Amino acid sequence: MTRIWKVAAISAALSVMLALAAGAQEKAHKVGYIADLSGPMQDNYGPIVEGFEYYVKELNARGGIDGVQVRIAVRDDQLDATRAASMALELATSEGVNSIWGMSQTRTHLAVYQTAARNRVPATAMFSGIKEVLPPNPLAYAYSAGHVFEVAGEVSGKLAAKMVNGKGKMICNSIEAPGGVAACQYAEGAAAAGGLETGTVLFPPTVTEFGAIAQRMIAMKPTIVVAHAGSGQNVGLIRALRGAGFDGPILMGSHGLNETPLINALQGVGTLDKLQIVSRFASPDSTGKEIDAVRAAAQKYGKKTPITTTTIMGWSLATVMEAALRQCGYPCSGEKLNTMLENIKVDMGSLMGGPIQFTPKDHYGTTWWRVFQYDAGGKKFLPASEWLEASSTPTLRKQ
Amino acid sequence: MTAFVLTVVASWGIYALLGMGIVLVYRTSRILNIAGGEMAIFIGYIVATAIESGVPFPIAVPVGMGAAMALGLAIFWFTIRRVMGEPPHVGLILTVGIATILNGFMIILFGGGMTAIQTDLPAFTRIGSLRLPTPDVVAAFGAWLSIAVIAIVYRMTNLGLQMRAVAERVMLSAQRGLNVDRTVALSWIIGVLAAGLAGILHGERAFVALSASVVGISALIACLIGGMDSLKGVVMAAFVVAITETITALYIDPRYVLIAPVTILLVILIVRPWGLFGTVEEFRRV
Repeated sequence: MTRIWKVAAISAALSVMLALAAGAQEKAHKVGYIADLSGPMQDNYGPIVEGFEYYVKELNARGGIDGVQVRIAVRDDQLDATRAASMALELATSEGVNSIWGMSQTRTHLAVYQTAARNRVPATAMFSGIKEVLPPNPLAYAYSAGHVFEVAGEVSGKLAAKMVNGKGKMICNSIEAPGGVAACQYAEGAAAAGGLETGTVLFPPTVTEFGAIAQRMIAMKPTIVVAHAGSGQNVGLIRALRGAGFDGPILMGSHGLNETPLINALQGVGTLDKLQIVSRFASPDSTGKEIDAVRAAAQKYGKKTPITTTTIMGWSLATVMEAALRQCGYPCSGEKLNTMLENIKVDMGSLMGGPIQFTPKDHYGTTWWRVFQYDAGGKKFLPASEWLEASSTPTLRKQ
Repeated sequence: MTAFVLTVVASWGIYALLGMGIVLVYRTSRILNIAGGEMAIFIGYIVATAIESGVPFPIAVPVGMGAAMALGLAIFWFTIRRVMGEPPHVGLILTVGIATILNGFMIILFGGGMTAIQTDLPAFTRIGSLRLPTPDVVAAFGAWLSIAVIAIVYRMTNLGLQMRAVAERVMLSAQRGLNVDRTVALSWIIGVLAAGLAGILHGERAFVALSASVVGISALIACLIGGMDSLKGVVMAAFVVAITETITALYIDPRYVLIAPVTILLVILIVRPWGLFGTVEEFRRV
């Protein structure tokens, strides 16, 4: 064999090996994940990504989906809508993912949804969600498996009325942002329908001094306070409300709350026995096979702090992802996956009060919500109500 | 009424304390420190983390104060002294950079999440028939005690005299043998210490989080209203800011709580560009 033939043979063999290796490498579902991992809300979004990753690691350890591994390309949007949109574009094009998951604050959602839709890749939000996923005409390729503020607001208003037996006054508070305003409008509508007088106090997202705001709320003579603000604002507000002498119930929307830092930050501010969270996810102290699996995975992968609702959120989102990819088969394009998501029903076991179900006309689905009561002795939030079913078409908006 | 007064006194004290730190460094180095809020919350995080690690509040506070002084010295040594005498915008941009770096460190070192500073004191303090929230009482008392100490140091000690001399006649001070660099360094140490104390008290009263550095904006507004080189001015203007915020939140609409003091600032700047108590300065290119 001449030298030139030897080189050709070696080259051909190498090419075949590289092609085989590439083929083996390509046999994976590639999904994208966008979240705020180093910006102002990394504390909320970080554990959600963790939960998502734990699930995928466990899934891959079991052999993946019908032998196909799942690879996640994680991107950090630092809560910036422009950055989030460019990352969605990069994931959908250069990275070649078939779906985008997670996402950070609602202000980034529309940009990501639109970018993903243009590239025919479905995007599914967790934690917060925008009304554009709700029926009857949800955005194409846009889904939410977390808290949509309109629905969360209506549920919180209903529960508030129930908690005080339809007597008294509910004051809702939130930040002056579309999601927060909507949450309080629906909370007021639902609470009024439940027999309560209502009021709302909104404040700028950057406010850090809550003394006067708490006094204003107390002057409105609330029987119950419903809070749809962020974690830090909830801490400031609860401290100020308790300090100003309000001992009534405070019901917080669990919009990405991490229980442990919240509980630590609230120690020593007076009575916390009337502190509740309303959430569509199980609390980390709940029981059940799926919750146990989250705890075990967190421990296995070296999580040093206890799991939180946000860890459960990430795990839940990955559960939906697995179900969609399994139905999609391999290879799974963004378009095909979108068709699967539009017709999906995933049993969430103990993670949530009911299944996650999307249809072509409803990219959010019926949800189930529960109240979790703070237990001062155990320093944890425990279930305090049955799961309350909520439609994805809230109607009780206060005009 | 008591709650209203206590809210105003506590906010006033925190803004005044943080504002005094900004004015002190401006007087000696002519640098508008817009990183005051970040410095405050950075120290707040240190104290909150120490307490979460089991260090008692009475020990964690001096630890935070020590860290604030070290931070002040480091900022002076590595940055400020190198731009002394440069045009004012250089120092201003420098503090923008310092704010960004501190934000980054708060994320890397402390996670950037939300926490609070626990004192282990009872939730309420009883004074006669009054039942007052302890965090507000601690914040008000701590802030005004710190302000008094800084005022005494500035007005009644040799160190304060040197700082005032540098603030008023830097060339003359140098010619008379005063170590200007050392004096400016001390003003940064005290300035960052004041910011750190304000951050600790804010964290004890409300919360510590990246977003809490907005407290620096209120203090900066107080400095600009009072006059950037007037300690008396910043204390009085801090009252204007605190009472405006409180009245707006309580009686008008909390959504305007940040707009109201800024509106006052704009009016003051139009009428008296150097602030209510500021010195009219003339910059000449030589």
